[in-house]
Amino acid sequence: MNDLLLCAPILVAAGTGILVMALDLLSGRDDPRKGFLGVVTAAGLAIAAVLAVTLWPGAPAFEMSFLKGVLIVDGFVAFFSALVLATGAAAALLAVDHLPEQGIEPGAFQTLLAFSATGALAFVAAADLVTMFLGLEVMSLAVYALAASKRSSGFATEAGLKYFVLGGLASAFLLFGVAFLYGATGSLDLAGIAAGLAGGASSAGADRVLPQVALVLLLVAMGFKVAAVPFHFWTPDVYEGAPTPVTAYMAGAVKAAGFAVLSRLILTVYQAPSWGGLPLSPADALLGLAVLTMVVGNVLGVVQDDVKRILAYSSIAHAGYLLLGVWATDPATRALNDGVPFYLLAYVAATVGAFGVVSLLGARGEEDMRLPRLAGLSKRHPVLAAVLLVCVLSLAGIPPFGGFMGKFNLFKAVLAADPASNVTWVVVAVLNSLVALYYYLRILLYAYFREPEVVSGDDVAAAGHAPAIRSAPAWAAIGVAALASLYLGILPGRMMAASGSAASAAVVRPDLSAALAAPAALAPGKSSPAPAPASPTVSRRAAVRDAGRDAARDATRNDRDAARNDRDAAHSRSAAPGTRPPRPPRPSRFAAPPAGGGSGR
Amino acid sequence: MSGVPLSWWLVLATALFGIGALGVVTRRNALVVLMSLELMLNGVNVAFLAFARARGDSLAHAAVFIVMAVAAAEVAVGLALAIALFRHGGNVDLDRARRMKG
Amino acid sequence: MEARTLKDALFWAFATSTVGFALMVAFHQSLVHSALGLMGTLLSVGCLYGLLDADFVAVTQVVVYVGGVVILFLFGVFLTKRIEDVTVTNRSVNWYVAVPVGLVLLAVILYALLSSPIPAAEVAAAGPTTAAIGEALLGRFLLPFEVISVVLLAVLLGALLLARREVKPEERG
Repeated sequence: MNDLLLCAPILVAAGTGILVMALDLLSGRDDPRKGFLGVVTAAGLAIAAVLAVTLWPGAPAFEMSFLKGVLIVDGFVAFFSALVLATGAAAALLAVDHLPEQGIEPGAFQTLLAFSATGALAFVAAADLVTMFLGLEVMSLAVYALAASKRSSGFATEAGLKYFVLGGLASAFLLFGVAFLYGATGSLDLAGIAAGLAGGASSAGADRVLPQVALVLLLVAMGFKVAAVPFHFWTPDVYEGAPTPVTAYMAGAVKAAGFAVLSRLILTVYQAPSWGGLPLSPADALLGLAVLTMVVGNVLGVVQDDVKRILAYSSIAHAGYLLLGVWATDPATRALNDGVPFYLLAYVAATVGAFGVVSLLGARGEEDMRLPRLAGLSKRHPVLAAVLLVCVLSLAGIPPFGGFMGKFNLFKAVLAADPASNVTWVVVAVLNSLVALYYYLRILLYAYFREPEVVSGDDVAAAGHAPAIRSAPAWAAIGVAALASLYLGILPGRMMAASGSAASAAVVRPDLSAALAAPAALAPGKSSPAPAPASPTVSRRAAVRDAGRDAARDATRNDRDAARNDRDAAHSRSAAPGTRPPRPPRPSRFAAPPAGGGSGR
Repeated sequence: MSGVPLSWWLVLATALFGIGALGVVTRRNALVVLMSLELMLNGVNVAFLAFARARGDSLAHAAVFIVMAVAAAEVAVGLALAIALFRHGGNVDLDRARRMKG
Repeated sequence: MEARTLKDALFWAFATSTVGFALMVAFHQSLVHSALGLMGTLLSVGCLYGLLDADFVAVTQVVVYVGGVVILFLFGVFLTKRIEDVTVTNRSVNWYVAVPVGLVLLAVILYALLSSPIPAAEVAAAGPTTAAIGEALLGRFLLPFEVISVVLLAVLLGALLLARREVKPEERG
């Protein structure tokens, strides 16, 4: 029973897909817009996100009979699942009125979006590598189809095929790496592999070579997924060619999921202390990727003339900063750098907002978004321009917005990991941010200070008279994204705490099974027991934000507030060493969100 | 077990994987690219089974079975994409200068 | 000892044919030859699975791959006669960069594998594997097994979305 309960977010996400498919069939072909399908999808994914942040952070206290060793549920997974699901919900809302303009059928589109989010959830939460691979495939296969879903456009189809080929390459590399890890340790789950590698000094040759080869392969695979530099070349073409809501989903959810898994794989699998004379250490490889990625991303971003391509290169550059964050682990604890989850959160909010604005400008089948088409945006659509301003400044890392707090905390944490030698790389990253300022400000320059009359010919018609798509759901999504960017910049405290506790859970220790049995036993030994109680409360903040997008918000708030008090009480109990939280109160608590969710539909 | 050392099995797997990877990167025909992806996955499966044999463990056999299922699914999507692109026929002019950057 | 040399000879024979057919898939100019080469590769690999005592997987290889996937490919080849024209152009892959990088990567892997030979473990000959696979799929891999159904559903839907004929504007509401 616990297994089913803990699977609930995944089941709800998959169920959303099936529900949308059924609703699509039932509503008949005559309904021209079918906008409600997108709202249903968003609501379902938001419910799944609420379930994830409610159920998963405290989950190690549960006994899992079947899924132990298949799924991991902890604060780290909850954080990233909520992020991915929220992005999925935002993409669904953005798509509501975007799809009819592009001539894309909403039924299949929204269903695939829900399935893709389901896959991303399994990808992030997987404790064994086969589940991880399957999650990756569900997520990716659905996105290939989504990217190509605009069948009237050869360019979109081309983007889909390109993404498919590179994605297939990435999955094959991931699998080959998994095969070598299996060969090195005889195990397919993360904890077993970590244990096998940590204790594997027995027979020298195989134990040394196989993990090395696996490392190279896994880095290549994840490099493709997060668009790190030698493997980034598909990104601009695919981001440009895909329908913009799909681009928002790829730049947000797929990248966030990729980073979650990358961090988990690298930190969990390669926590072996000594690599005795190997030519390539995981740290060097990550550092090389990080520096290359930010430099190339920013330099190539400067020469672009298309908003979607600029944002694509911006997302590559951000992957570079994030890789630097993943690289700079504290050598003492070997936990994930606690700036990384927060940075991803700020990046995803700003990116989704920016792509959201672009998607609203893509009326009448026009997905092409060259800079001159933004000219005069501040006069035509002041609110859209303001949202674009907030999101782009946040991406650029300008002080009052989330991106600045993200960069500040990330670089601070990188410095803290090794103050002496990391200064160089932080300086490189800061210089890169300055270069990036150029192309971010260029977008704003066109939106605020150029008049559409300046350009001539077709562009006047395109720029001056194409109306923005009027869409309440999409406005809600970009509004939330902009507000989140502001909130993260002005009041970062709560999410920083959530980020810290997520990061502290990132490494699956080889003694996972012991930790599962007695979570409280670990707390007294650690220097900072505070984050643990903070995490559920704080990450519920994200849940409230997600839920704000659908009608379920008011229905569930009271339940959740009650749940919060209950949980805090439970946590203070569990903080005492050796005691386990009593079982009976929990099921009653967990019964609340699904009930609220039901009323949301 | 045959006397062939595990290394040789792995070299064979890597060769298959590498030929596939080169095919994916160099060939421009969509169907050949798809076939090359299949070669890569077969290389992976050979490696899995070789390791399973060396360890006397059948866990990887189930994994290989799952990989096969996914590979077949991948082919379906890939062929659908290729056919969709084919529908656009010759008028898919993808070499426009605007997109040649970066 | 006699059986062992026979098995060694079989390994080399099938390994050679696998690599040969694989080269044909990846580098032959004719699409039909590539498809036939794929069939040859998959059959050879199936035989290799047999040498690895993976009876169930070997049979699946023949049934699923050779029986299903290759036919699907041939179907694709013949369905779109002019698909030779369909090329993934402008991949932005500068292949003269990608190929050396790939070759270096492969060389590193091969060097690593060959520089420290991993001895063949002596294990008792395995029996039929079907029961073990079944147990794994319904036990350890229960969740992945269920997730496969989501994969298939998503793929079905995605392929349908992509390959269906364009809805005519006047058909749309």
